[in-house]
Amino acid sequence: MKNRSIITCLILTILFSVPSLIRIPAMLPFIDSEVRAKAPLAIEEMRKNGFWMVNADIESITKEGGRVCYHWKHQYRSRFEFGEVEFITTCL
Amino acid sequence: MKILRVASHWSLVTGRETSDKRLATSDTFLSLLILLGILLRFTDLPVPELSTDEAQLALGKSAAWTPLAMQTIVFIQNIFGFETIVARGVSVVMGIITLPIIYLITEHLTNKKTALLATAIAAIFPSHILFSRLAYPSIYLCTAWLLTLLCFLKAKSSKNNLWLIALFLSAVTATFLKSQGLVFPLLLLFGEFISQIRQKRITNYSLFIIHYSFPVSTIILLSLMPVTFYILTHPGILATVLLYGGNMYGVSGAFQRLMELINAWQHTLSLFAIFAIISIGWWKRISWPIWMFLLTAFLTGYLLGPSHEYYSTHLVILSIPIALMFTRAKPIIKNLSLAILTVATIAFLGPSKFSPYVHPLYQQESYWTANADKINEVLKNDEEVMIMGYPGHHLRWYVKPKLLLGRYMNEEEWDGKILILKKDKLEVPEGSEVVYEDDTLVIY
Repeated sequence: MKNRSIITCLILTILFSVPSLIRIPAMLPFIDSEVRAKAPLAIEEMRKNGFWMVNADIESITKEGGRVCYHWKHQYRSRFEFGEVEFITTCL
Repeated sequence: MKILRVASHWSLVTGRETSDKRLATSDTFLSLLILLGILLRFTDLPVPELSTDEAQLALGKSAAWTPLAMQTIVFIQNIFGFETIVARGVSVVMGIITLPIIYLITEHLTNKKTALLATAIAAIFPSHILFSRLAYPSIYLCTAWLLTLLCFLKAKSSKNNLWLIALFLSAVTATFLKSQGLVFPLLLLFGEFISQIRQKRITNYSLFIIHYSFPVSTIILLSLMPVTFYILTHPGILATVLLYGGNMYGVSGAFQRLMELINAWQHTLSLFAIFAIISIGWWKRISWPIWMFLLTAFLTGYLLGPSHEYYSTHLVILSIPIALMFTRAKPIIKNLSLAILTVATIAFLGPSKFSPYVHPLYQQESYWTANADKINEVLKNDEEVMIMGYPGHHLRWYVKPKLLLGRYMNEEEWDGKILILKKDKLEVPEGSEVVYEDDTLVIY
């Protein structure tokens, strides 16, 4: 009976982990030190648009033409409106 | 220590409840205290303006937190409206749910009578009442942690294996309410490990993790995995730790941190702090999971922000040792102490219109509640407004137009209105047309 409970919890662990596990490929570029080093600069670029970074999520990172490109999803939120979702790319 | 030992044991020579009639009166009194505690959690909900942290939760977006608390409050507000009273109403519900959990934990450890007493003390526990009225995730976390504690105690002692699944679900819930939610399950795992070593049940440490003789440990370990994967794949959480590490987060200035923590706790606990200290002599009678809960309260406050009063929410666990102390006291001493604590709580957290000693949060004039409409009238034709300085998230709660953070933008390229908060001591450029000004902000 205890084994059955543990197996149930193991299955639930996998189920609850799946949404995070499918993000692993998109986050793997962070292993690269250049990606990590440029990430704060990418945030500064986003801030130049006046964005509240709390409203932004990093969706993926790619390398294009020798530059590191950070792909963001941004949605302004206030009590009066949840703005349109914007997809923004900053390349450094 | 000798004085504390004497203080905690003085009641051994004083006697116990002997008549059924006094017992019945006591239960009625305690039930009334619980009812009072519930009512106090509803008191003055819209009075203080929403703080920056409350607004961050109510707006449901923070890269630094795991998502469940934010998703819960946004879900409720999508049904009932994005209003201060709705956002805080969720905390009220969480605070009330805590009370039967405290009852069940104490009943498991002692008996029904002590459980009712602990619940009554928890009901009037000031820091718990305060943060049951405000939209901070600490109250959600406190409830989930207490539920985890209850499920842990039951899973250890009951033959019903459903408690193992309940333990798993409550621990996962705690970890997904807020990132620091994993602290208590981690400490439970650590405590279980030490407990098993002391009982000499672990002989091969390398097999401990997968050894099915320790199902509770296995369950807790499994419950920590989803949040681990979440943190690893959402860089905002680790980025926040790095951002604040070394100043707000961490152990730098160890003594100053401790003083700040004690100051914050004594401010929110008022007289309960004294009774908690006197009850120290009873703490050794409490089983180690309760100690781990208390350690969690201490560590989260000490390491993550000692001046933040909301970490004192978790100190409601002290209602258990205080109740243990009271059960050994003469009824008149117990009832007098409860009366004093009740009066102190009502003075501190009763309706702000009637008490001059109320918490400072309820004494301050609420600027945004009084002025938001005026400011939005000035800005009614503006879709976007640049805001300079270091505004809190609550401005997105109260100001209707979209706010753009101006401190990183090129101000010269902006041709709309600009709002500056006077606390940031910024100058209005010469030649600007000021359209609104008061003691707090300027719009030009």
